[in-house]
Amino acid sequence: MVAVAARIVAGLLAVAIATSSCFPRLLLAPSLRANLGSGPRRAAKKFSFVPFSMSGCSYCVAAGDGKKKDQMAKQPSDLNCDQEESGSLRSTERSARSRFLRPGALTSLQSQYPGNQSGEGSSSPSSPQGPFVPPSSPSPFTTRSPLFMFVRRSSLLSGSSSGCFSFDMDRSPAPMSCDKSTQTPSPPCQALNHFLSSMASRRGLPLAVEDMRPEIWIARELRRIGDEFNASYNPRRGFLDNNHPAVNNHPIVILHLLRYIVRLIWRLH
Amino acid sequence: MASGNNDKPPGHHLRRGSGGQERRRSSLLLSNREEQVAEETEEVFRSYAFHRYQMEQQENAEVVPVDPEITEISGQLSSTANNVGRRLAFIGDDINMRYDSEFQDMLKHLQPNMDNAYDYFRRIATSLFESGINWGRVIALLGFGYRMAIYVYQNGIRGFLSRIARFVAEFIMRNRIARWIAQQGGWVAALELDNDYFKYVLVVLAVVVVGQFVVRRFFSP
Repeated sequence: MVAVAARIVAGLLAVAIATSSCFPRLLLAPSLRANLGSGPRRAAKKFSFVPFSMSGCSYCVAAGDGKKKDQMAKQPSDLNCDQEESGSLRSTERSARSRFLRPGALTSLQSQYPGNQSGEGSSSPSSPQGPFVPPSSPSPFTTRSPLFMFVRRSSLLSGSSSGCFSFDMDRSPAPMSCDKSTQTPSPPCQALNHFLSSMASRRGLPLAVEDMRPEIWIARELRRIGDEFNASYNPRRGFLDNNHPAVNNHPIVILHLLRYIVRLIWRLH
Repeated sequence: MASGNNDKPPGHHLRRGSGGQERRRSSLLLSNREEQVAEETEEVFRSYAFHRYQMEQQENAEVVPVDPEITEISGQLSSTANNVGRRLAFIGDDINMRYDSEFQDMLKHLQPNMDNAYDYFRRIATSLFESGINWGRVIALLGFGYRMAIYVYQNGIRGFLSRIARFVAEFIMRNRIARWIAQQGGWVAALELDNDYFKYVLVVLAVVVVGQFVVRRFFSP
């Protein structure tokens, strides 16, 4: 009985530690949610704290597992990509995976601590999840959301991170070695290119005939030269000598200039 | 764009109530100005060519061929045409510095001579002004005409400058360009052309200097 009681106490302690160490993630979740819309760079900055906050949490393994499950759904051929990871991590991960593959074992624990779920689901806190659904990980965003293109490629989240959770770049659906020059454009892109080229050729057809005549080409060049030149030269409107009437003609330019001057003086000061 | 910087005819402010007599008078005034513009054009072009030639000779005398037809121009000009030509040449020097190589390419491509020059010139000018008139295009046409004259002279044909001056005057008179220039106030209006950006830069520099002085004088400890 004493041994059982000691186990229960130890388990409660472990759970308490886990909850407290996951607390930063609970704080992180809304901030990340707020930053998702503000651009990938800021989101990446915020998101880089995730491994640190997860490092002390036993449920971070579950996060890794959730990520793996997502990859199983998305990239079934990439299942063996974890073999490079350390043995201990693999074993814990495997055990965690078994929790979710066999939901009976950890169902009660998961349902007991929903805070952990929301903490683990910090990257996708808005997604509704039941108790049997594996806790969400940042991986749905890393694999689906274009916002996380930079997060995936961020050095902060590379495999060198000390946490048990990492965004490996080689799992990314958009590999770093992607060379656009060797890639075939997508069918819509091809259609668009074809349309543009046909439009250009159709538009250029009369010009191509006329372009054979040098005087037309010269006239076009002269027109361009003259128009460029005309943009900078204008009839004098008394900018300096007639009570500044030109100020009324270019108020925006003058205002911009004044703003720059004031800023310059302010900096000098 | 079509009418450049100022579309309004000189008599646009006249009241309608004064009837068709004043309208007739203003149109008469305009047509008089148009004729004057057409008369001045040849002289303006010759003055323009003379001053451009002078500038180019000052810059690099070795490259510019000595053309007695141009050097003789100086004594034949009226003061107004001379001033306008000088002003346009000064402005055109800016164009020339930027686009000289393009002008040379064009002329090499075109290969003008005494027989086909006017035909080419007319076609180019017609196409140049078909979408509108502005001072930039007028100056570009004068610059191209000058380049054409020098090119033809370098190919050993004498007396081409006066011919091309007549081409310019004829073209300006036959087309609506003389009317447009008359609406701007005649060739004299070209004297009022100024580079706005240059002025802005000057004003900004002046204000910065004054501002720095004020800051140093009154705000620095």
